[in-house]
Amino acid sequence: MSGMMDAVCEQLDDTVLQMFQVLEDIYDQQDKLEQAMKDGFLAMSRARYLLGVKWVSVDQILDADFSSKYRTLTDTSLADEVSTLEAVESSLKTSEIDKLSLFELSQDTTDVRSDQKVEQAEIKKTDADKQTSLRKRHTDNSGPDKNKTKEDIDETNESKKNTTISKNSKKHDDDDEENPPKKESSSNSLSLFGILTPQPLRTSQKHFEGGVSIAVSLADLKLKLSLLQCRYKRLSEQKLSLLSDEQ
Amino acid sequence: MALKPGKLIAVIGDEDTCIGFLLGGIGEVNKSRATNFMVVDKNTSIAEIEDTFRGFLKRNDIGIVLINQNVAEMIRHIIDSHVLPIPAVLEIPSKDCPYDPSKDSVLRRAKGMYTGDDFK
Repeated sequence: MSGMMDAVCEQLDDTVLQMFQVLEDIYDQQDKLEQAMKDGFLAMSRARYLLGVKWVSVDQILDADFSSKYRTLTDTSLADEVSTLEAVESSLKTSEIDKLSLFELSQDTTDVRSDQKVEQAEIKKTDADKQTSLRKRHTDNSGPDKNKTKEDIDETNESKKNTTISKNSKKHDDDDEENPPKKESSSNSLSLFGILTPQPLRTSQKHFEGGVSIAVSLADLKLKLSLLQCRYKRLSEQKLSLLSDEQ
Repeated sequence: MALKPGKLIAVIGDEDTCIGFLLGGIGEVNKSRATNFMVVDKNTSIAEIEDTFRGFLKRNDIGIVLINQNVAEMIRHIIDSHVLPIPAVLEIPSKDCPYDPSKDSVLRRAKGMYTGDDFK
């Protein structure tokens, strides 16, 4: 019995020490996040001064389409979203909480890439169709194709512009295929604020990207703190029950 | 350590906070035109903030919710009642209001843990 009590007390002490360490890390990370955000806001203000207030505002983002560049990866011990903290804590061993990284930041490019692949595949198909149809038009200028001759002239005159028997979307797809970097940049959130963005806006983006990684580590630390609290509570109750048994 | 793939980071805050974190690359508009951010201004009601926050908690594609601390104060009762590990709720400073650890829900729970009896 005394052996069990000693073990429980030792675990309690370890838990308290871990909690204080995690608290210290949280305060440290909060200061870093605050500083990163301050630097980001300052750079954003400079960008507003250069571009104008309208161009760095909510209006640019409300109706825009964009996808996230960063996502969080969560540990499988948090697999069931409905799990309570107590359930998660009881499934972890004593030394695991300290070493566990419950949230991690990942750069998510898969959705962009898969969308690009699909779009490029569609573009290739439409290009192949156009090439065959162009060839057909060039070789057969009489009859029903007479109506298309003006379009043929336009196409030959305009370099790298393929029009317009097809829909406008295909035209835009062709332009995008010729300049793939434009597509990649459309997934960059800077493109929401114009094509030629000033350096302060890029600086602001860097600061906030740093802020995102700090925020993820903070979420990780706060979750660890909550798990340690659950552990402390459980061990305290165990200690009280042992004390009452002794009496 | 096995990791489950990617959940989004949501943000509820003032205009500059939302713009900043969207610049940072966490913004997303899904197929049903639902966003993972909410801009709070002087005209935003507390009910709207509550509804959006609850909506983010219900979504299974959101792992972390960032919320300005001054906005969190408006819906403190809902944040205090959220005890699930996911999504994690993180209070962040805003341009006008610095971070105050004494108001943070998670840290307040940690602070209120210890009593004199615990150390007997």
